[in-house]
Amino acid sequence: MRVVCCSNSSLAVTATLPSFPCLGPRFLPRIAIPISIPSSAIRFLPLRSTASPRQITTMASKNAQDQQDSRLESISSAIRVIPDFPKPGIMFQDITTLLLDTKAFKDTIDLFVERYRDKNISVVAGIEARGFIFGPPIALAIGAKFVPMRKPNKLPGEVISEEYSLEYGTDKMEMHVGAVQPGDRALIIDDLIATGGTLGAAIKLLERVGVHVVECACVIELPELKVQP
Amino acid sequence: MSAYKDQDPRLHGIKTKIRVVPDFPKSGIMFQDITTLLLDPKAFKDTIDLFVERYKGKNISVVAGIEARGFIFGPPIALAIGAKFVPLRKPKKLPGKVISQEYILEYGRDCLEMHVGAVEPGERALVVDDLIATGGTLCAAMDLLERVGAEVVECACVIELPELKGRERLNGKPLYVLVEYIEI
Repeated sequence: MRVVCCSNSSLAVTATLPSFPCLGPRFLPRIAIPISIPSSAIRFLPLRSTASPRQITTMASKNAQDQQDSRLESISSAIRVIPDFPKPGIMFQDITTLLLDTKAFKDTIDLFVERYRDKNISVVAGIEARGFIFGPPIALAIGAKFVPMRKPNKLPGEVISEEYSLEYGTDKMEMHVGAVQPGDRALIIDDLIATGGTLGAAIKLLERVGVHVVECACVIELPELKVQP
Repeated sequence: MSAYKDQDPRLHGIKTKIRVVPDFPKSGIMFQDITTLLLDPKAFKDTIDLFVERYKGKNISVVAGIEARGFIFGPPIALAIGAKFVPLRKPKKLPGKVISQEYILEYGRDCLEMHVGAVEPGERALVVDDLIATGGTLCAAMDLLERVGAEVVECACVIELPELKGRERLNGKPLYVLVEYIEI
């Protein structure tokens, strides 16, 4: 069984993001879930399966002892892996099954809120569309505003745009002019980080208007994917 | 039913935070922009609280949110009332097995999808979106849930455009909104 391990080292973490002129260190909390692929044929997990081939190898830790938070195991096992979606070879990490588990969903939000509540975060930016599911509950709990980062032509009124690379071609992300102010302290939320292209675009958008991006937070990381240059 | 008629003091703050953007996405449409509401933590919290106060203790086991702005309001409500959250999405976004419901637009059709197995027969469901206009999308959402045997208890939206008569299109299903927008 191949298990993808995440390192707890913050040095390794900063290396996974594209480098931008930044105002401070940025690192990804590894709150969950490496992927493990069984040696036999890849199975499609039924929606409510609690039997997961996944192993948790690490977690985000806020204390020196690096104790594994017991909530992480149920969060991890609630996420469903769907092979060959949206195309062959991709193991899609489906968080919708997590959302069906009321305790695990609440624990997911709580883990983020515990980490960020005393960090003076004024903005939670959520990336369309699954970032809209995790971002607002966090924003509400920590008293921050929520700013949606959207695909082109969805936001009405004046926007700023940032183009970013895809495997083939480019895409664009937009944010409302005036949603954030210079000096705002921001958290960026998405369900998953793969190559980091989308998160990189979100960071750029916020920094272009003078916001300090404190951290990016995702439920899932695919650490084996290389970052876009 | 509209909360605005009940004059909860929080409603004024909510209504004034919604920004109207003329001629978006096309000429003649006065777009109701809730993003400005989300920039006001108190008003956003009040919005959620008003829904939670209404639905807590009503044995709702599912909150279904319509992509994408229903994803902003649905999950906080679901978390607060202890219900699961089910995203209802545009075609081809949900992986795995889905059921689809087509619905009519002004010009053409669109389609809403839900995961097979996300909702079970007998579950009591709430459908959440930011706004009801003609009611087409909400109807498709209700159809999906009813097709799998769930009971749609109510549809909940932040904003209603009553002149578009969406409420009537819901076939007697109750609709609860916080504010109405009427063009003067």
